[in-house]
Amino acid sequence: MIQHSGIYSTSYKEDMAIFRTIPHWSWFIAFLIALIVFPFVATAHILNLLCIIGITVVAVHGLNLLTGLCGQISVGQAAFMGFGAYSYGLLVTKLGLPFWVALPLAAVLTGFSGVIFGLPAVRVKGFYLLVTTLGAQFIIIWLIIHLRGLTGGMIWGLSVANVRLFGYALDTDIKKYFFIMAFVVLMTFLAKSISRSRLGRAFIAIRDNDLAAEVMGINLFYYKLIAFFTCSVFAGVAGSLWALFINHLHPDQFVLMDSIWYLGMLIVGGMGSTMGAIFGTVFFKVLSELIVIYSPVIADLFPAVESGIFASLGHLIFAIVILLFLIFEPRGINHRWEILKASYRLHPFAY
Amino acid sequence: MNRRLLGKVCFACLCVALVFVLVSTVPAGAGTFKEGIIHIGTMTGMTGAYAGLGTWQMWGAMDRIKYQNEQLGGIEGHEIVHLWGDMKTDVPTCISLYKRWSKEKPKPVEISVGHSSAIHALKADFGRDQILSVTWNWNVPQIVPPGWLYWIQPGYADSMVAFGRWLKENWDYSKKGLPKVGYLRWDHPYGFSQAVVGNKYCEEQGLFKKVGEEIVPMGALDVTTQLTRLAAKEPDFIVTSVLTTMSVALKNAKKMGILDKVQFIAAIYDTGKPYVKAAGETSEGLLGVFGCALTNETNLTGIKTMTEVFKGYHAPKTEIEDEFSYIVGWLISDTTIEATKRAIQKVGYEDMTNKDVKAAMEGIENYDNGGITHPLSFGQGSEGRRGNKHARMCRVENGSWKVVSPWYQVPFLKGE
Repeated sequence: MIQHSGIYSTSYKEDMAIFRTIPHWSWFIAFLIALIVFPFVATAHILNLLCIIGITVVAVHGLNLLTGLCGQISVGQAAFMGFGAYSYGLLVTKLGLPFWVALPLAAVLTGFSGVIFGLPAVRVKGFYLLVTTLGAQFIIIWLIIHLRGLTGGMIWGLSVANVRLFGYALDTDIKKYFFIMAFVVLMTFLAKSISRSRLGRAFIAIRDNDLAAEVMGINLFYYKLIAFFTCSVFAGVAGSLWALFINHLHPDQFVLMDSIWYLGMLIVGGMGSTMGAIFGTVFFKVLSELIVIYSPVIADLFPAVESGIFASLGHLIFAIVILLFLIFEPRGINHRWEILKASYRLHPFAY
Repeated sequence: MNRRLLGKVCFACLCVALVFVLVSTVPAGAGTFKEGIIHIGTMTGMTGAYAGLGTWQMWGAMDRIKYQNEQLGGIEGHEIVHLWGDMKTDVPTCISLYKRWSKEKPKPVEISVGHSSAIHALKADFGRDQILSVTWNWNVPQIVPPGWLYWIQPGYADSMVAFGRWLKENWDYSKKGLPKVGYLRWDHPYGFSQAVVGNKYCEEQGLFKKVGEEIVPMGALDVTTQLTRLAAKEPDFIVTSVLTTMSVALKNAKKMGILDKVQFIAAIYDTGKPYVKAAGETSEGLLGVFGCALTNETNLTGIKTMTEVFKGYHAPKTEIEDEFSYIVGWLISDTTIEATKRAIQKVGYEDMTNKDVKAAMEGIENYDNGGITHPLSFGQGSEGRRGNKHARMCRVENGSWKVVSPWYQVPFLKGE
């Protein structure tokens, strides 16, 4: 990492620290204060958007570990999220477990489901693996639909009660926001830590050249399955958060298009970087929201043009954005962010 | 001036002219309204898999509100401000739109959501925020237990019951025995269980016997395999209940040579004009279930007004291409306007709360919307949430639907 002149490390521990300098810590604390203060000035709409962004960030972190770091492509993340959501919902409603038991258990169960669908990764990769993960999207949703006795199927869905924490029900937008954001910070820290650990380096080695990685002693079978497990654990946590956020689960909430958009978010944000997952998710969700908000305004300005055309702007803009990123900045927003930071640290020198 | 600069200037002028032309089409001020507006929200899927339906539904809702403002002076003199948005058939987007609109001042009297899963998720919010939601008819849990949700269309189960009633009147049971019915459905949340419930009810009533059921994917391009299996069971009727399946099934049936041997029935959400058009000549004689009138029934005052309004607002378009979706949008706005009007008349605009609108909605009895549907009646409890309890059969003749039955009242089937 490039640092200002005069900042140097005297130990490996110092060198590895995420926050090394006073400005680092200041920014981080300022960010946390902003997270805490923001809900008191934000509208319910903005809070809702932030909660959705937070949950999506957790899911995309998982996908980033699998696809961005380990190079194993997956289009089943929404289904794994669904698996986690329903696992959490069932553990809470049918077994009466408290959330602090149900949530990690749901995450681990989702992790194992990911391992099952990750088994083909040992034999196939690339597009072939993509198709096998597509299977997860169909099989998991099929199970949710047809295990009606458990899940409520398509008609009734599954109602999930609000979490009770130290006797207080998390039943308002603000309470849910704090709860979700705490998990987002925690899972972001976990994702960052994994990417910097021995596990993360093994993932990167597999992504860059699996044959070379194997020759170096990395057990491909083991690490690929661990990647699927980790990715699905994140999806499980995201799903559980979704369940306690929305309070009513339905198979329609975990569709294939979401899995594809998660990949899109990763591409735009920057594959393989923790910040990339955050940038991509925030970018997509905010852009999507702006389009939903402003397409009626634009349509009202131009009544001669059919409103449906403006509503379609969203998909069109998303497609163009991904296209432009792939052409001009395949390393995503995060790469631009890194350049910006480096420029600041090196100033007044160009290199 | 060099050529490149001249080109740029011309391009800029063209852009400005285009913007000017588009902006100049903005209607003049809405006229003289009393102080105080009324918010009504509509979210439909205007993009994605259901864009066809969603866009037409939105236009129906928009046109009815625009008509009320421009031609009828708003509701009791108060302007309606229409909040609308593309929910992209995506639950988070629906919730986001709802959260934004529900905080508008004044609070919307009604927010219509065109996504069953989102309606489930928002049901508690509607009750907590005291905002009405009028929708087509999706899943029974939306109105069991009763909340702030109301239906203006019969559903899949009702569709099957109406078909059963038609059979009772038109099938010679003594000579031909119990009619055998095959069923094509989509393995997806939309309606399948209700269809199962409807079938079960009809079988229990001795109206028909279901001999087979086949799963077809959404947007299937070929259903020959499913039809072959159904044909082997020699059904008298085959019901299609998946959007777009009807046209594919009819074409496949013709190729298989079974079109003349089996009568096809399009269930309530499979009757759209675009599908009839796509089926071409194979659609001749097709029977379909409708919970509303047809746009060619211009002898009905409601339909006459609606078609004229459509032509006025969507010129040069002259035909409502997806009549069912458009009518649904129109009906949702129309019913909300009626309930709000009654509430204002009762308590006055200043004192009106959404509880008054709810009470007015539940007080609607035999409301004649100009024949667009059988007169609507709402009331207390889950049963009262079903404003439209009637459906009827239509047949395709010369490429367009024609009414062939009276309205059949259908019971409330709660299902599983």
